[in-house]
Amino acid sequence: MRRAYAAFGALGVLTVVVGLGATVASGRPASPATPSPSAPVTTSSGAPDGRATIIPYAFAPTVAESSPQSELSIHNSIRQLVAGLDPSEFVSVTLGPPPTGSERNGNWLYLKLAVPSSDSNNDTQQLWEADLLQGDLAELIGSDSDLGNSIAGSTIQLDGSDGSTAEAPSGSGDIARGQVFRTLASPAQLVTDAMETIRSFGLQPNEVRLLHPLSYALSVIATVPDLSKTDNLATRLSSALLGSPYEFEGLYLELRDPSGSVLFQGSSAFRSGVTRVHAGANVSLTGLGVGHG
Amino acid sequence: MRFSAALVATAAAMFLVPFPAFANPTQQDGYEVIFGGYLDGVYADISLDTASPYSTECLLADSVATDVPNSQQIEAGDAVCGSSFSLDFNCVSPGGNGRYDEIWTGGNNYTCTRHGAVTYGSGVGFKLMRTASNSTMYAYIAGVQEEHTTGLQRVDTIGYAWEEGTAATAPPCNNSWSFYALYSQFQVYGIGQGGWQSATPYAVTYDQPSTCITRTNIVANSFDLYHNAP
Repeated sequence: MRRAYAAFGALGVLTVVVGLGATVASGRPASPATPSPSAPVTTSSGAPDGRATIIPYAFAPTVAESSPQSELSIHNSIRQLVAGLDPSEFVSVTLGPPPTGSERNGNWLYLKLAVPSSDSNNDTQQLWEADLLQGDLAELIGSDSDLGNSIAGSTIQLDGSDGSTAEAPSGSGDIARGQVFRTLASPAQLVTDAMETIRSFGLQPNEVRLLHPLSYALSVIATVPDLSKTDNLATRLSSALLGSPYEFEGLYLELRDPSGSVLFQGSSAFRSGVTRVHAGANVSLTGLGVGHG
Repeated sequence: MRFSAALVATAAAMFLVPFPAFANPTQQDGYEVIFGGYLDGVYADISLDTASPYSTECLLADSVATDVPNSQQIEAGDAVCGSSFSLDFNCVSPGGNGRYDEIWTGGNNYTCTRHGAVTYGSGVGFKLMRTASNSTMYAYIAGVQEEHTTGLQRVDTIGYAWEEGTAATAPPCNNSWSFYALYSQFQVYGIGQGGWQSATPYAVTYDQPSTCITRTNIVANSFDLYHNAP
C-alpha cells in the first residue's frame, strides 16, 4: 500500500508545524528528575546521574550556524526535504510536543512510513530516509549548536501494506550544527565514482542512487560474488564510498549474495546521528567489520 | 553484549554445514550479571581512561540491559573502534571514538544513536531504567533522557565492558590492544526488588577462546576493568 505524496500533504502538516512554531529551537535540558525513586547515584559533585556536558559530534567539517527559519519556511523545508527523498515512503510528517513518558522538551518529530510489512525487518532503507529527514530538518529549523536541541526526538510508525503497524526504534543524536558534506563532483560523476569503487572491491553494483534532501546521500545495492572475500567488507567499502572528509550526509549499503538474497543492510545518517544494521541470521557482523553492543 | 538463543542456534548449526567465511560467529568478551529476578534498571558512572583497540575490534565501556528470552536489549556507553572496524555501521566510525546508545530488537537488528565524543578520564553516568512495570526502557546519558525501546518485557542480564572483534582470537588475549575503565556507583534497580542494590559482574565470553578483560575487586560499588594497560 504505497501512498502518494498527495496524502502526505493532505494530513495538515502546515497546520501542525505552524501551530508549534513557538517551540522551535527550545533547548535540551537535562532531565529534571531521573526516574529513580530513591536512586542513590550521585557524582562527587553532587549532581545526579553523573551529569556532564555533552559536546555535539561532527562527522564532517562545520561552518557558522545558520539562523532559524520562519514557520512557513519550516513547512516548505519539510516539503523540500521529502521531495529530495522518496516521497511515496512518507505517509505523514508532523512536528509536535514530546509523547507522554518523555522527559524531554522541545520539538518531537512524528513520522509514518509506508512499508510492505511492519514486522519484516526489511525496512532499513525507508528508516534511513526518515533519519536523513529528521537530521536535515533539525539543521534547518533551529539555531542551537547541538542538532539534538532542535528536534529532541522522534517517533517512527511503520504502516504495513498488509495492515500491520509497529513502532520502529528512533533516535536524536548530539550532532554539531553546520556540517558541510562537500563534493566538487557532479551528480553523474558521483554515481560513476561509486560504481567504480564498488567494482574495485570485486562487487557487482545492482543499484546506485543519489538522493538530495539537503546534501547528497548515497544509496548502494551490490552483489558479493565471492562470499569467501568479505573480511571487514562493509566497513571498508563504507569508508571508500564516503570519502574523507565525508562527501555524503548519509549512506545506505545493501549487500546481496549471488542468489539475490539480502546479506547485510547498513545505514548512516550523519545529521541525526542514527545508524542502523540489519543482516541475515547466519551473517557475522564481526566478519564484515561491523561491531555492535 | 549479545546473548541470544538465536546466536547459540546459529553457532550449533555451523558445525553441521560447510563453514562459509561469511558466517563467522560474533566474537565478544566482557562482564555481565545474570540476575536471579527481574530488574528494572542499571547504573554505572564510567570513566574510560585508556582504549587502544586492535584494528578489527571495538572496545566498549557501557551499561547494558538485556531481555534474553525475548532477544531485546538497550545499552549506553563509550566506544572506541579500530581502523578497520566500526560500531553499528559508522555510529562510531573506523578509527574513532564516541558516546552512544544502542537498541537491539532481535536477530541482527541494531539501531545506534550518537551522543558526542568520549571524554577520557571523566566519569559519565550511563543508566538504563523504566519507572513502571511496562516494556518501555530509556537510556540516560549524563543525566539526560535519550532513546528508548518498547521491547523489553523484563531484564535479566546486565553487562558492563566488552571487547568485540577478532583481536582476542589468535593468539588469545594478545597484547595488541589495551583498555582501562573505572566503574563507580555501579548498581542495579528492581521495582519489586527493594530499589537500588549492589551486584557483582562476572567475566563471560561469546565465541571467543577466553576472557581478556580483568576486573579488580569490588569496593564500595566500584571496580576497574582493564586489559594490557598500565
